[in-house]
Amino acid sequence: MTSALEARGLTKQYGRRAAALRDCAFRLPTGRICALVGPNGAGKSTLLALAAGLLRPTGGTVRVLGTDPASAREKVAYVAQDKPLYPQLTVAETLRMGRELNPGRWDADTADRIVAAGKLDPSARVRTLSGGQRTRVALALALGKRPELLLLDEPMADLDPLARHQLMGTLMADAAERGTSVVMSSHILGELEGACDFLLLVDGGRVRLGGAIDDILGAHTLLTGPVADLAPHTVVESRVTGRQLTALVRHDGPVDPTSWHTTEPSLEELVLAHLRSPEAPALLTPSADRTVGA
Amino acid sequence: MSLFTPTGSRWVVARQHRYALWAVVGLVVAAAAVMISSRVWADSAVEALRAVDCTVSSTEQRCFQPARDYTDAIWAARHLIEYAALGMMALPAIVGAFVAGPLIAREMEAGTYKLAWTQSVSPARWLAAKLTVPVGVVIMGTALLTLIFSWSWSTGPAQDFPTYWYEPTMYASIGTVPTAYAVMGLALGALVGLLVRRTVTAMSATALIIGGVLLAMSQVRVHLWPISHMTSLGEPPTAPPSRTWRIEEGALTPSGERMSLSDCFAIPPAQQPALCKAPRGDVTHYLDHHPSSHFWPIQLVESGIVLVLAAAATYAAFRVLRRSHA
Repeated sequence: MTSALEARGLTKQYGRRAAALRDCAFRLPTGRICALVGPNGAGKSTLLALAAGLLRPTGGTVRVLGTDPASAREKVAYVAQDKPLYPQLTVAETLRMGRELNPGRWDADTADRIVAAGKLDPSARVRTLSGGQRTRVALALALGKRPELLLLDEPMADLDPLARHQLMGTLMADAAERGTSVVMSSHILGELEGACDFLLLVDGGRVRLGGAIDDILGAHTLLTGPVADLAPHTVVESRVTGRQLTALVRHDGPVDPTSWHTTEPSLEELVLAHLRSPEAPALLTPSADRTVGA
Repeated sequence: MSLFTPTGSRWVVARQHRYALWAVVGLVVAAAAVMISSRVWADSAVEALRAVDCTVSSTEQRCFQPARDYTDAIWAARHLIEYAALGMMALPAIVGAFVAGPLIAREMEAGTYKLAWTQSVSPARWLAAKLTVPVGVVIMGTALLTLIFSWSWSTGPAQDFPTYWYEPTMYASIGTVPTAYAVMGLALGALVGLLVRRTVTAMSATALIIGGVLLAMSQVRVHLWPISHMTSLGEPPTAPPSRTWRIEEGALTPSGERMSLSDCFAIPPAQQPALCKAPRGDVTHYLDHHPSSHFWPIQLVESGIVLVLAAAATYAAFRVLRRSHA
């Protein structure tokens, strides 16, 4: 089975600064909607730009749809964080550009529909548009390409809640219809929760968590109870208040339900616990692990 | 620009910079107007003088004013063509600065390259379109201006107050050299734009580099083709004064050593060697020069060097692009 995205020892260093990405290895199966989360400066944008073929890795490789990023260019759409568009072109000219630069792939209907839903004047120049309107044009350009893999860097940041909901709906419907793989980055998890079924948590240039969200949630337990040794489970984070212990563990075998009260953590709790505990070991579930089944 | 209908990346470049393309057309028209009016002005001055049956050197009282008017008009026409020549010299730097700044570095600075490079067209094709759209316009525009300039310059006010082909400004405005330099400006601009990635810095750096190349080439130009030597006993060798690029002249000592006129003038009379003071009829004079027949060889050699530079810069630009992206 080919992967939408596959990284092996992927490293990117800008000049002499600390590496933006260090030795990342993971796999994203095709057809998934992946949330790429992490704090600001974690390396999310670098990872997406490497996948889009805009940057060359300093070390390691990234494979996109089973090939190198340059060969996959036609099948990948990418929307950068700042939604770059040519300010001197009109909306209609921008869509014409999509047609000119993606011969044989361009889906004018989809692109026009997205622009029309935002009540944008096709003859308006891009420089006169608001941030949210530009996001809409950028997404129209990306979806009009009929990508097999859609890379979106902070796609919803500029949108009002209504437009966000509507565009996310369009995006998801389109992805479901075509079986598109999607990677969306955000530092706000709530923006992506519910839409995504796969998670990549990047922090400090490393992949901390990777896998189907259900698998990841299922691998962790949130427990409260008396202070005691939690072995053989892996403790991600633990907090003691009085005689009460609250801990997020990656369980190894069943957790004893008689001594602890256990619940499945929410995705947000899980992510925050990992961000607060940089020393917690990384977890790649089998679906995200390059070495399994490859 | 309805002459051709570009598609793909070239359509995008033409659409983005359509106002610049029209500005180029406007600039060419304005420059052509300056050159043509210089010629027309000079012609009408000649005509006016002839109409009253006078010449410039006439000593008749009634001819003084017409002769003065004629001189003023020719002088003004000559100024016009000199300004036009300065403009022609600046052309490669203008082309280079435009390519480096608005065409390339602005895309890097504003991040729109991320948009362009993630469509179905590779960055190499993107750069190729950035070069091929302007190169046609630049070649056609410069070639046209060069032709108009040559016509205006060679037949216009050159009669009584001539300008010479070997003057740096004139030389760089005629023949194949202007077009070659404009193409080099384009290629260097692309390279600098990709390296510097800041619009204003890239524009200034490109203009400076191209100015440097022009200056360096004007210094070595005289050696681009073998210099002709002439010697004669008694009188200095004769060569058509307006068409000969005189490089060095002087006298030969009996042992064959050269004593150039400029060397003689550089020394106070008291310390001058005997040769400087020898009567002209007693010595052998020499003249190093480029006759007007050397114009094309020098032009072609220089154009060749400049085009090789342009090719190298283009190659380097694609290499820089390959290095930075996947």
